[in-house]
Amino acid sequence: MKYQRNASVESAPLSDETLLYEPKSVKFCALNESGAYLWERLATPRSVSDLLDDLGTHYRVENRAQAQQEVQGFLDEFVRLSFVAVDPASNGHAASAGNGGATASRSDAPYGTPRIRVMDESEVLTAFQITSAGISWWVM
Amino acid sequence: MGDVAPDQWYRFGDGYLVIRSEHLPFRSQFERLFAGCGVPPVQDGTATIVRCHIAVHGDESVIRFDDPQPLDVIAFAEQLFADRGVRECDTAAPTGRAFGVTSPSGDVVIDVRDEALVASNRQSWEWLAGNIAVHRVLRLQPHLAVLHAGAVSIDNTGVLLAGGKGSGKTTLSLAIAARGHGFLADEMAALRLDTRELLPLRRSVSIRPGPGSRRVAAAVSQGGLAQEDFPDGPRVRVPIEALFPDNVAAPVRLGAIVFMRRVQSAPALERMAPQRDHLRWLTPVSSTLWGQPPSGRAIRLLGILSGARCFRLDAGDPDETAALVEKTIVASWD
Repeated sequence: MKYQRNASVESAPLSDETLLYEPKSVKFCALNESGAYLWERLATPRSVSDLLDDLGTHYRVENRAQAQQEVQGFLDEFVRLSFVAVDPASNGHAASAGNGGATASRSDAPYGTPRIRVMDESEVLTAFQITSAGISWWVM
Repeated sequence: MGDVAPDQWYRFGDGYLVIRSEHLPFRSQFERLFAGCGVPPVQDGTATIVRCHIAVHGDESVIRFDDPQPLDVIAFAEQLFADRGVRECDTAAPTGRAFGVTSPSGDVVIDVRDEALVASNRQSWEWLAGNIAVHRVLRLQPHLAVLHAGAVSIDNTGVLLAGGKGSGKTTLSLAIAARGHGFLADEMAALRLDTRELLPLRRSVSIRPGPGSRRVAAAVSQGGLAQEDFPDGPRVRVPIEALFPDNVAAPVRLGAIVFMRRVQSAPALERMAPQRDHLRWLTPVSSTLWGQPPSGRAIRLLGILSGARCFRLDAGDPDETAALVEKTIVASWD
């Protein structure tokens, strides 16, 4: 089974988190670094096995079995939130073993559990200030 | 009044406003403010065009908009100028609705009758109608974000100058332009969200007394420039072309955002990593959000933040600050 991003989701990779927005459900979520890395990889259809290979090229993964559980949980949550969909063309197929073009350079950074934090819309919009700028264009 | 003028065409972002006004003070003030946005008539049948016709009937002006999309103008004005206290109010007319505001130069009440705005010429309605006209064009462009920011181009790369009221956006925009760089805007910057291009929106600048670029100060001191009284004091109003005749403006891709924090004795500029909270410094004008879900706009602007080099600026002497911004930003391209 392969997974892929919902194409309508918009993302903003920031310094300390990556924010995602799904316009249909008006949902935001924030990803930590490894979550953001998996999101980047999901630009093309990826199986759990593909993603584990990707992680292995990017992070130092000590326990692949545990990582597999965590990646599966991450994907399940992503699918539940509609940020990621199961690629229908891959349904029932065996997991791919290839790395799908994952970056070859391996980092020594330790792998951390990928996390999704669902955010309330107001949490983002509180930082959104709107102005009536322009009124000073004209003397009152 | 009563004189029928030819159409005056202005470009705001990727849309056009056509003014035909029998009300001469409105026509001349609009031209004084937006001469830098003036364009020849556009023949493109697909262009976004709002037409504003102002007729004078005795003591009243009747303002009609020919707009491709219907608009509840009272709700629009209330949202647009919420922090200025524009509200729906009672009307003396037997039919229709009205909106208005209390302002230092006197109350303004505009009736809305059969989708036309009707204002008594005994009051100063021009600023309200003029702003509504500009923002009617901007609200039709969902691919744009119009931000309360200055914008310049340095080495053909766009630089957004974001900061609150009085942070020195106009001063710095002009000081950078005085160094030969492109001036795009000093207060409202138009940004195409898909291509991340900054567009020229060159209203006439209003220059407060106080520190400024030496070249700008020299031009102002020569006199002959229009002075207007603002609530916070007098300002000189001048088209950018009058200050820098050779300054050209063309769309440029956004490369850097400078967040203007405060004014100090010496300028300082440092690179910063964009975070969610910085969204509060990219203040969109409310017409940019009209009919748009704010969440969608917020994520697009956060995407813009993440794709640009971001800097935090403490401004000092305007010319020294402009030189520092130029040097630091050009170095960051490497």
